[in-house]
Amino acid sequence: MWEIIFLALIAGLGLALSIAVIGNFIVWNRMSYLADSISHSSIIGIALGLISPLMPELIIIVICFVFSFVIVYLNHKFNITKEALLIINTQFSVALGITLISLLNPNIIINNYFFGNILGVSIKDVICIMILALLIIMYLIFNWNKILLISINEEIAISERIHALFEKVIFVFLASCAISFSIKMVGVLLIPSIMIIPSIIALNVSKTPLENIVFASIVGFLGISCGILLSTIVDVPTGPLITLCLIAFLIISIIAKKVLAK
Amino acid sequence: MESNFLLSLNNASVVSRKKYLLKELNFHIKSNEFVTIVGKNGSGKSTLCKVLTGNLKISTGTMKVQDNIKISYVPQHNNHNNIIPIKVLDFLLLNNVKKKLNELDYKLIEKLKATSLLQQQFSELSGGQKQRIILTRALILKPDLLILDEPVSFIDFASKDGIYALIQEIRTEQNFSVIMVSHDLNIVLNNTDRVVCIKNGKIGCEGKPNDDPLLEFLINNNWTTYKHHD
Repeated sequence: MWEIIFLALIAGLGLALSIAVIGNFIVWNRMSYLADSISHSSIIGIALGLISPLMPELIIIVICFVFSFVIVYLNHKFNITKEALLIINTQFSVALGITLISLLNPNIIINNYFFGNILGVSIKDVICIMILALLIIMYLIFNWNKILLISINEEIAISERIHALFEKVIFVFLASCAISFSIKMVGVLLIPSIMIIPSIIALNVSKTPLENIVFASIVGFLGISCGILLSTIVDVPTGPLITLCLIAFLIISIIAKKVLAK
Repeated sequence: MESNFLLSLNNASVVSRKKYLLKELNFHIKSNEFVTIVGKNGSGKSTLCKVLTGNLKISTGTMKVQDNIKISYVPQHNNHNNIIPIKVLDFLLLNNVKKKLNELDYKLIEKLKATSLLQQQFSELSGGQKQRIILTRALILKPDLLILDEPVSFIDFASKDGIYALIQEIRTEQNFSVIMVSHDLNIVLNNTDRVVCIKNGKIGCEGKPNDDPLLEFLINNNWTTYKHHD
């Protein structure tokens, strides 16, 4: 039992270092709904991944990336309203994904993909999420100035010869990878909560972008750990418990901020 | 392209939704030149700035930029991201090869009356203060070309011509070219090497501030009450 929990906690650390870190840039760039929308696109990837001879995660990455690239490209090039694009993408992905799953894999238990099961992770899953976390952190270290300037003012960044569209494409690719490897652990519907909530909590106490990222990772890991430990006590799937823990942290942080400000 | 042109546009047009925002426009700037772009609202001034800074691609024509020149840009709109927690001091060094500000940078910051803002959060500054910090950062980057889109409309400086005088003063120390979009013609005419008037996406007239045809064009278009005195 403790071996399973230990493995789940290590996976949780990987999630906090990948998903929660990526989440900061999503929140800063007001793309929270993009995370949700890409996450829903993965349902199509799941349907196709289950009948493909390739690793399902690879199919999910490709699908998530293609959909997110189309959204970012249409928004960047043609200035089509982001909200409308994202809602259309979410609805289309759910509809097509469920249709494909019903036609191609009628016997699978869809709930496993919607809510995930971090207690069921394998060593291979943990290694994958850790490698991904390392890649994301390396990308941030080498491109820190560029992506921070794009986030603060894209026009200025472009004038300084930063290729904003290219950086955004790399960024959504990493986000697609992070989502793909997290589905098994927290599920399609709850990935956005691990991406977004830790960053929002960290914003309440951060004075620098780096602090924001470090605090978000810590909060993300704490939320995931609490969810895992709670699920060993009560018979409830881990994913929803992680989200509830993070929302509880969020409420506490808002109240604490108000009290401390007085 | 003449070798001393930092940047030039040849027959450049920008078309959006079947409408010409810029039409067959020719523009250039030389090293250490101060060019002011004037024109009424919607004439294409900001579109030209966006083209010159790479924020907008031209539909036809060519744009040539000298290799390795550093361009700094102060956009017109104050639409900076206010979510990111970043100190002004850290923002000033963003995308700069320098890791620390030197004595000259601090002198520049002092001139721009930004010293007291350094430890504040960028997101907590007023619109005018933010534009002043954007301009400070643009100058700290030691540009070859500074592009300012209507700086006076936002930067809260003591007097409107104060910012022009300051930029001229800094230019005597740093030697860089300036492209400035402006409405304040009477001030502009005393501070620039060349004026380019944009009308309906085309160059209506251009010349030195004291050129009679230019002044005639400006007066005929009700753009200025400036009178040239011999």
